[in-house]
Amino acid sequence: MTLLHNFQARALVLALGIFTAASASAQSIDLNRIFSIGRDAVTAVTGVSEEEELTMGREIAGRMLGAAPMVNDAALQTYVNRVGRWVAAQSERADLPWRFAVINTASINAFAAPGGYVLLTRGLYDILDNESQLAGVLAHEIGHVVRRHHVTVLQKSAALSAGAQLAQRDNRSALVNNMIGTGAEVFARGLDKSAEYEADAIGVVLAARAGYNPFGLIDVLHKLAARGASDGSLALLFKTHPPPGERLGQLGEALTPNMARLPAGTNPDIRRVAAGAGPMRAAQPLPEGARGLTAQQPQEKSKPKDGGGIGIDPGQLLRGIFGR
Amino acid sequence: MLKVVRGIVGGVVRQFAGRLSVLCLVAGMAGVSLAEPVTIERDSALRAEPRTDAGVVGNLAQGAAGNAVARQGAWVQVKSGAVTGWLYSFNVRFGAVSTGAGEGSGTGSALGRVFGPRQRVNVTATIGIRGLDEEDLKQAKLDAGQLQELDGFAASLEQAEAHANQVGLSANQVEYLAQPAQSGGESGVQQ
Repeated sequence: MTLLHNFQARALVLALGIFTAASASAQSIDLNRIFSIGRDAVTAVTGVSEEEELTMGREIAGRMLGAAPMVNDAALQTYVNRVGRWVAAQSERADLPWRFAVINTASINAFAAPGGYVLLTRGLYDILDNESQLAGVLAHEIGHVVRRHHVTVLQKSAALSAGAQLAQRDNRSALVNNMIGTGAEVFARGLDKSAEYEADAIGVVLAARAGYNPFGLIDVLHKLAARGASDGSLALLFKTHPPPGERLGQLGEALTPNMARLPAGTNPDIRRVAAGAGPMRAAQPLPEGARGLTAQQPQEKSKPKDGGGIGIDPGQLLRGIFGR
Repeated sequence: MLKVVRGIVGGVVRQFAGRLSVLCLVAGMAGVSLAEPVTIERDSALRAEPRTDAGVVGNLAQGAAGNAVARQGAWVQVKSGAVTGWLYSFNVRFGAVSTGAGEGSGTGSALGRVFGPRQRVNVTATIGIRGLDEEDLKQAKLDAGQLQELDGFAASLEQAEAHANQVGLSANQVEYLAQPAQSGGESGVQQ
């Protein structure tokens, strides 16, 4: 059901197949094969398959929603999906089952998960002035998905898990722990700055293609730069990203020779969050008040039910404009 | 607890009002068209109008200070000393702080902060929400109910196009930008 289980199951099936075909006589060859299977399962030739990407993205997005549920404003969520889908339609992955949501946290951030899941925080949404800025932020996230930046991260983790399989192939739970433990470290520096810069450049272009003022993203980066790292709502963002000022500099360099080619576009009004909207009621409710509007004190963190997750740290894997 | 929140909100509102009054002093009666302090990030020509083919009325060097007096698309109009002209907004930084390097230390000015939030937001609604931190993300467990809800909000291509038509957007052909050369950019990121 989970990604890791999928991979393990598949590796097991494949390994069994190899054992059957080659008999038990060639142990060293089997080890090599197992190593390459571990890698191939994730990497394939050009990356994970779209189906795998979707499975993975859904798991990660679902976990993110477990940390911060959607804002309880159906009209807003519908609106954001229409804007996002329109922008995504300008990309080379227009046909992914794109999903967009505003999640109920005051942090200023946005996240992209594989397969077309894009989550934007309420804290970020609230500082946007118009739909072009929204489009710019979404387009940056769409850029991460389109270029499969997270796949790069997974390829690295696959190499890790292959190594782990060699060392610990008889001990599944040790393997899982190994992946979680070391995986997080890899994810923490999995994407270098160039991926963020690339997503910024794509963000400007996709917004322009969609007919928006192409510079909405630049406006947002200015807002972030002006707030500075001391703004608590930006803590995670500043921790995981090049400073917005540097991103503006990079974007400026890429844009300057091309400014004449960019259409002026328009700045439609943005839809505001409905007054008084709180977190959307979840079918699997969070601990009472854990992320509610009235929670002023950190609540005791809910522990994951078991160790049977996918062995991927969503916090590290989620990519954002503002979150990596 | 509620009192605490009220206190915070009150404080924010008071602070905000204080900033507003400062702004009014700076900007006269101009209301929204504020004069915001800016620092020039990169040597730039100032143009008479927000167009690349407009005449150059002056030059500002990196580190020069001025005030942004208007914005239009990617352009910002800056007054610095005796000269006023337009340059790309990505070549300035708002707030009276110099260069991107000091940015990490969080020196956003009061004016910059006002530029940031553009406060027509529901302050009381947002202020009580706890932020997300890394630990939250690490601990997070999947919420299947939320995923189902999310599916319900998905837009079809037709719905997306209908929205675009409604707000007057039309698609353009625009090539991706060539990325400037990166130092040390690896990790298999496609160009």
